[in-house]
Amino acid sequence: MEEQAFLEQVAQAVKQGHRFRSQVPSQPPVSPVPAEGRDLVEWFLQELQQVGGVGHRAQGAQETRRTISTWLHQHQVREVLLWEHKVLEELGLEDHLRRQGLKTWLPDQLASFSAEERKQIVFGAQAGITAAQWAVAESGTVVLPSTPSQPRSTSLLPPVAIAVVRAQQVVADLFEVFQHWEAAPLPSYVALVTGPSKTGDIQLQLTTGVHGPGHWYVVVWDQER
Amino acid sequence: MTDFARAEHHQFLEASQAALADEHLQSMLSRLGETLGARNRQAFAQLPQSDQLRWQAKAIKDQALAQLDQLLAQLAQNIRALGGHVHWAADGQEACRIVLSILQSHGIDKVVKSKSMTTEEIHLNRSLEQAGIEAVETDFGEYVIQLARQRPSHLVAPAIHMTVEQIAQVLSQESPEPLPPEPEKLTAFARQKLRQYFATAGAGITGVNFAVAETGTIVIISNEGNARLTTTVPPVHIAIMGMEKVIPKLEHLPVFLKILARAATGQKLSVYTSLLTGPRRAAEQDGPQEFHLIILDNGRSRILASPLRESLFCIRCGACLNACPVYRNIGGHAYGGVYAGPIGAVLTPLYDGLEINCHLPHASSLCGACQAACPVRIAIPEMLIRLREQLVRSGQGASWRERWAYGLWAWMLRRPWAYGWATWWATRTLGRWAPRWLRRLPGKLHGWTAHRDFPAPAPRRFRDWWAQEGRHQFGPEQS
Ligand code: SF4
Repeated sequence: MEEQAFLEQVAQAVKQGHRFRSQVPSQPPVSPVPAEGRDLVEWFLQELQQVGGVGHRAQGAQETRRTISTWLHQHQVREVLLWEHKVLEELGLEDHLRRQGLKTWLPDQLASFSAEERKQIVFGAQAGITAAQWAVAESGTVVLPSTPSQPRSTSLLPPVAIAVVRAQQVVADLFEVFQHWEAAPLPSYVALVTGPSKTGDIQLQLTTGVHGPGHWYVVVWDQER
Repeated sequence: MTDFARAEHHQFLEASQAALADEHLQSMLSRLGETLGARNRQAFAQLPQSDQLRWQAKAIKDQALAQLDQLLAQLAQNIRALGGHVHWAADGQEACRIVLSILQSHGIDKVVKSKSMTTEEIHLNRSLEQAGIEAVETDFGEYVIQLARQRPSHLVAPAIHMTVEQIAQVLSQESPEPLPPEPEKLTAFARQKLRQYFATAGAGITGVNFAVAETGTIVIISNEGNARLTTTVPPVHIAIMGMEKVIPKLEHLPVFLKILARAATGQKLSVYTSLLTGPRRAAEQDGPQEFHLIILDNGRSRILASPLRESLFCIRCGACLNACPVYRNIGGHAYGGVYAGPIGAVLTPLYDGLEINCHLPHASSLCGACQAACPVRIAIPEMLIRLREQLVRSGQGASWRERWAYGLWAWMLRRPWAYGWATWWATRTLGRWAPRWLRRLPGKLHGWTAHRDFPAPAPRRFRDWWAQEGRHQFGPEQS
């Protein structure tokens, strides 16, 4: 159907439907769930655990790196996809992992391969490491925007996924994340991730790891004390 | 006999009888109340200001529909500015034709789909199959249903009518050796099997949960991650949305995100919420190179102009199904159409015709549990009553006997002498001779007593009792 004709029909219906509009009592806008003096990082980690994720608050870069390599080691990971991200660079994560004998893949390296070869590598990797823009304490959610150096597959295809969050990037409520976005245009893709992949399709019992990663880790990189 | 699990039908009464006699189904349905239903109530109880949030969601939907033409135009403009394509489909057939022409222009013969009720509504899989295109459902439950050649029976848990043994049996068709009835093994099998399809499909087809007009963003929600895979790996993404899915602003989105998952499964947020704003951009390595949005009317503008307009607020969370005592006894296939449960009892007559679905508006005790559970507070019972009223006015759905009986009743209620005479007569006959509960009413009335007893009239009329005794005991003090 032509756009014009379609929209005209809708406009007509909008007009006719006007007298059937719903009665909604006017409400003050809902405010974000308050932190109420709670430690945001602790709150986030609790919620993350509730949804089946594994989290850790690491003090300083060294502990953050160590935490990540312990997790990778537990799953006997040999090849890992990494985002090119300033937080991961500050951590010196790539060097660290290479020194541990892991094969690392950055988007830059992947760009030189054909689409087919790239698919082989990305589908074959056992873990993916990303850096979150924010984490939401109230729901245990991590916000992962995509850019050319932050591909969508990294947090999706490998069976093990790890996200790094700076402690100051943890906010209390989802509303706050959307307030941040209002100023800037959205990237082509944003994923809000809340725990490992799961399904309730078998007799309403939760089973993890259907399509996305069944193992979901978040390390919160905090200051050294 | 019709296989109600496979074919759409208009035999509500027969299908519900069959469902009540199905032990597997009954054992699955009996879990709904204490799982999904209870989790929903708990999740809302724990959320501060949840009442306000639900009203706010309803107000946003109401407002969006009041400017729907402008919002759709704005959405389309923004998506085109981002390099996407927008198509307009008046009905399901046209939507299917558009999908086919996109696929054929690229020579694509294999697609992956992620769960979408809208594509069920337009019977897209059938069109694709007829055109020789292989379409694989990737949501675990939908995959099982597709292999079993059945229809989904719940908005968010499409295979809820199946036991783990039945699921294992269905999936074993695709496996070289029989699979054990163990959930982890079954999902692992589906994961590995479906990965091959993701890697080789020419396009991914999805529905849309929300579309944000001001940014041109479409939002897709899933727990498994299949919607993400569908929009990440294949080079072409086709999204099909009912036109009522659009909301004005990005700031409105969290209002819905916060209530949708809570209502559906009691989660605070679903595992994956994807915000897609146009196709992949320069230098990106994944995501679709080409993005198509198909905007579907298919009867929605007719509903928008009608007193049942509010049914368009539905965000397809399934909470009303879990709350409904009727759904929890007969399951989704009995309703006959694509949408089941209380909201299905409204939508199916609207999309498919009221007269042939005349039993659906009556498939409710009007207890109000659906409205109480609905995150956007849709007045479902009121709409069911409206549909019943339309049925009566159209002369359909009521026999001449029924009309005659109600006519007599109405005539009598307007004449106190006639009412007094009739009740006097009833107490002197049935009231004095019959037992207190009638087990079987005569003739056509026996339907009433098939599953319950009918109370006989009292031996004395209230007005007689009042005149003789009641007023002395309970009447106003005489002074
Ligand atoms: S009518 Fe309400 S409760 Fe039922 S599916 Fe729609 S939004 Fe959910």
